[in-house]
Amino acid sequence: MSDNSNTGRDYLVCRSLYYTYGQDASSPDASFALKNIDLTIGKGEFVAVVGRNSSGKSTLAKLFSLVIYPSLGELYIDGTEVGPDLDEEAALEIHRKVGMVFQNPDNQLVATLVEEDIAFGLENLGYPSEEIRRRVDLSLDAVGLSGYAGAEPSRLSGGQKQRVAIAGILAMMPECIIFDESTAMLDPGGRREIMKIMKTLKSQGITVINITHLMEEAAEADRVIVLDKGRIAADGTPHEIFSDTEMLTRLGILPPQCADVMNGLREAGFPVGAGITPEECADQISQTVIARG
Amino acid sequence: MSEIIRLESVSYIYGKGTPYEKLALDAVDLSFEKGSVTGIIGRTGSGKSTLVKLLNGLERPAFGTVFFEGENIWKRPREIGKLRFKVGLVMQYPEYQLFEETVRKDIAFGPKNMKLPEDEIERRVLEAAKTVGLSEDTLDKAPFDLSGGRKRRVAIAGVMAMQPDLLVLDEPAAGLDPEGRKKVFDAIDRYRTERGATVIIVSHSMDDMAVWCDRLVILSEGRVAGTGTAREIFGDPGLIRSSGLDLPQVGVLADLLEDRGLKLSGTVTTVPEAVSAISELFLSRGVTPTPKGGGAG
Repeated sequence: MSDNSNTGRDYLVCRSLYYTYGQDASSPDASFALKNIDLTIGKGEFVAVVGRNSSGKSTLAKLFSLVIYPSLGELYIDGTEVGPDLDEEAALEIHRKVGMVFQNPDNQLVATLVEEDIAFGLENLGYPSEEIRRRVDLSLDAVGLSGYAGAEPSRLSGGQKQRVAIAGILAMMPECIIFDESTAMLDPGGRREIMKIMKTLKSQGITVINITHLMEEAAEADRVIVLDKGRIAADGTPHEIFSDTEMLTRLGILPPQCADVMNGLREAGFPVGAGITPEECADQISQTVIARG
Repeated sequence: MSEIIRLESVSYIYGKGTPYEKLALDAVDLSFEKGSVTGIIGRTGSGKSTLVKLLNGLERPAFGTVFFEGENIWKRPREIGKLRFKVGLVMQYPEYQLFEETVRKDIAFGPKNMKLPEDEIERRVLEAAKTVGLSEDTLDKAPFDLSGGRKRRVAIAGVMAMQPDLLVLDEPAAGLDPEGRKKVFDAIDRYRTERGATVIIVSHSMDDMAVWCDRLVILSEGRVAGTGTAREIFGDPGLIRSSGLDLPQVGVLADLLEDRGLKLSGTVTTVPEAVSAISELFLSRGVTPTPKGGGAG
């Protein structure tokens, strides 16, 4: 849905960013939820952010969606520096560009009909009704829920509710969508639906950030950022991250089961390559057999 | 072994008499052995949460009977409250229900309701805190100052302190990081071992269920679609798919290997099982390991 031509340009940039909840950042006892974050996420990237509970993942999401502002350091969103003195118009523009999907599907839908829920943001911005209609239909189609415009959100499954929440963001023609543990409460089918949508969004040039505890999900991103105690502990491709057993143990992360199996086989001395999805691992294992057979 | 709880042709109807009437459970027969750990799996809307509420009498069956220790739990409806001390239910995201100013008071809430003497309450609080791996200095902290994983364990300890014979947990590890998940499951395992209790866990996480449960029950559209060990259940991909579930990732890997003409012996449901089955396959195909430390790694 978004303009594809600028894919690759810096989109979310943190420079020596710190964040503390409540305390005065200049106080020597300030405890920081995020410390010295230097990070650049390009437009159109699909990034997973992982780490223990209270490692700073959600704080990062709140900064990107202007719920909070940096205590120290700089944050740029699509070239605009973000801070407490950001003017209202610029803040509105960022709210339109960067959408967020939360964990609990029941806390996100406010209207009595699906279409009203999706139209909510557009109506607030005073869009003409034909344009709203067009965007509601397009957005529902994009999440595979055409025909559900007149449905009641309360009668939908968890996965469908999350898809309505995503459609509400898509209607704003966003450039970036942040998923904050959005699949945690869904069953496996619901999770698959949401992961499929993330990949479609990425293919349309939208920047996708998936904050998750599920390493199988993180493995599907192009890049994995590991946070630990408020700092960036690792940043790399899923292959780089999930084959470093020593680092994973230190950071309290369980790799996806398949990566764990390959690490176990390598530790036992078998000549297998790295793999993180079942397909890759099956290929690696059969190659090993063929090479020796 | 003898059974602790049994459901006999239990049906449950939501919104009875309204246009939204729905048969949530349809003639379910299930029995749970003392000391066992059973995992209940099934997609959203399959009836898992309804089943859980029927076990401790939060809901009453429309038809059929729930027997606890051989007795119909609804025989004397006024005494249903007593059952809740014997069947401890840990709901989803139980930490949202913490409300006391200290961890100690929160864990003591259940035993207090049981009208136990003070020293017995104190003893149980300490024991439950130990079971869930909370140190004694945590007890005087405010629950709200704890991390998400520890808050969850405080809430679980609150139910454990009532020392129920049957512990029922609905998604006990949802939303926790891998370390937090392991601590929760370790705590459940410790409770079961120490008290000889029976455990029923509802979860969407097939990986966890394969590791921690002796037996799995699949619910699908309000009916029991299958029961068996993790190996039996996950060894039947047709059943898993028709119930809208996923194999653990290692099960998918085993399927893909079979497609490539590399069948593993037996069903694999956990990482160690997969490593040993694939090692075996390698050895049978002449792939030999290079000893570690020989510079090959």
